[in-house]
Amino acid sequence: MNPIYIGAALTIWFFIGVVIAYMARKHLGKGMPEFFLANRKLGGFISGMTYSATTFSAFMMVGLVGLTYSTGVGAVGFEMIYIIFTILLLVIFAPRFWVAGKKYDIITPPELMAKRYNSRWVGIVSSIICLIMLIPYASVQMMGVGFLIEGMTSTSLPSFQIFGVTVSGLYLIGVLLVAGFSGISAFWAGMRSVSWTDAFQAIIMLGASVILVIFVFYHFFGGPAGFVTEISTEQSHLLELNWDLSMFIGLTLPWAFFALTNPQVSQRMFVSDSVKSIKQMIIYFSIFALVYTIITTLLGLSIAGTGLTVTDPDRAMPVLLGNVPVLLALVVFVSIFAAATSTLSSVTLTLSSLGSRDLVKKVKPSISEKLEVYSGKIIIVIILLSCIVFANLRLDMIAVLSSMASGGLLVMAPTIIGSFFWKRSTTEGALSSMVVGGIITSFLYLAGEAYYPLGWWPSFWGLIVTVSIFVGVSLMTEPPDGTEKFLDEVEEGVEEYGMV
Amino acid sequence: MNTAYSNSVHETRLVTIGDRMKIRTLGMIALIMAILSVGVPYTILGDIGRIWASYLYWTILTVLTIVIGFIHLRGWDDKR
Repeated sequence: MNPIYIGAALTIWFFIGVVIAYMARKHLGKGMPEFFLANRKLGGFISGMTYSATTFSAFMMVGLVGLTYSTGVGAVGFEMIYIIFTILLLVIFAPRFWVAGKKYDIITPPELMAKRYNSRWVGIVSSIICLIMLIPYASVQMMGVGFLIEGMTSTSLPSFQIFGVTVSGLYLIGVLLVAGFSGISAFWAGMRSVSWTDAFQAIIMLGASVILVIFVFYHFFGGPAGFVTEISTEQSHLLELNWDLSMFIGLTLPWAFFALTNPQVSQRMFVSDSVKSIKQMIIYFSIFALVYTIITTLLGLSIAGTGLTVTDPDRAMPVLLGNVPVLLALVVFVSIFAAATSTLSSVTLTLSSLGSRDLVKKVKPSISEKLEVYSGKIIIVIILLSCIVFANLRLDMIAVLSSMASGGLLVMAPTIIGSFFWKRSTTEGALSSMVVGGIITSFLYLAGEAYYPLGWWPSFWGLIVTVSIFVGVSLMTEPPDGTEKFLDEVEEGVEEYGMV
Repeated sequence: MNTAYSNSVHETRLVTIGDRMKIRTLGMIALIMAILSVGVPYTILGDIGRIWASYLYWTILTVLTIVIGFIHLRGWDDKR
């Protein structure tokens, strides 16, 4: 495809995005809750769309499509289990996060843990884990667009060397575009602009994928029935579950707890303006998630059925887009770009809130709120620059890389669950489980598959180690002061607001 | 006054007990879903190369969870 078409499509998208962000900026007030949580005033539709656009990234239309194309129905189970657990976790935890956030003026998930465990170190450690683990995840968003631009464009630009790594010109342009747009969205008006642009982007993501799957069914297979016949006869091996159980558990486990352990999504449990809005957020997300997942996995299976030649699973979508009308390809391209940008801007904004609130503020408690917001903005720039460097290393497959990041965050799950549902959980239990679990999980990921004990993935071992340490150490130590009060106040709040 | 206080405490306790039971039920549902979503495809459906096997099974399980979630949300007070 001619790069001029891509440039034109992105220009239109950019113009609309900037207008939305500008409108959001006009509503921007002062202070931390305003910048990072839109002053907890988001309505149900915007809450639901920003949750969806943040959680569903470029991974869906690039990584998941490629994974389904190459490994079949196991990818469907992997993603559906994510939805199942996210809905249940949202129903259980969203009321508690929301009440605690309002009651204690909490802005970040680590801040919530620090409050519950009455220890700033719990907040600092969980923030550091988030910062380390989410840089690869954020970089994956840039990689997704980089691959896509490279795969969709017929012309090529010269490659060059940066720090000994060969970087293709088109790939780098993709990476820089996503970084730039995300930066503008997050930097300009914080959560308000991010959530408004997210809503716009979520609509594009879903709309474009629906149009694409309908086109693919009718163009390549003569209709949905033709697709089912083709896939059941010629590609039936993809409908058989051929994922090794350890790989399935290893990839799915972090995904199942994603709603709790990934701060960019769990922070969205703070932003709604009412009980009705939280409820709507869960409903909109549930429907969006189901439809989007069905479409992306069907697209993965479809590409296998079309007989198109794909050399690398991550290039399955670009190859497909090279075989559909230019206008449709452009709309889908923009939708993937939107998915990447919305996730990246949310991750960047959340990490900057963690940096300024849970690290800078904890190191220098006397800092003014204005300086806190300012430090958050500097952190946005640092994070984006780190991600650009990481994205250009082009490590491994997109799907595995995303899951690795979530695998590292999984070590926070026991501490978060214990915050609300286990009175005996202690500061020592939280700290030791996150530190030791984090080190072991990271070590196993870095050591590689040959060193996985009994062949089971790091996320599996990480969770076992973390739970054991969390429970064992908590039973040997005393819960911090204020535990009963915190739990009583949160549960009373949940009852008071009628979220029982 | 004592009676009113006693009623209020009683009601609060009932709500708390009801809340805990609901949370436990949701926890049990999560456990059952975990077992079903891994156990059935890996024992019964995995070898069947048809769209109505594992693919449809996982989709139905997800729809079922959405329905359970919506039923739970109906109990929330919308007016606050």
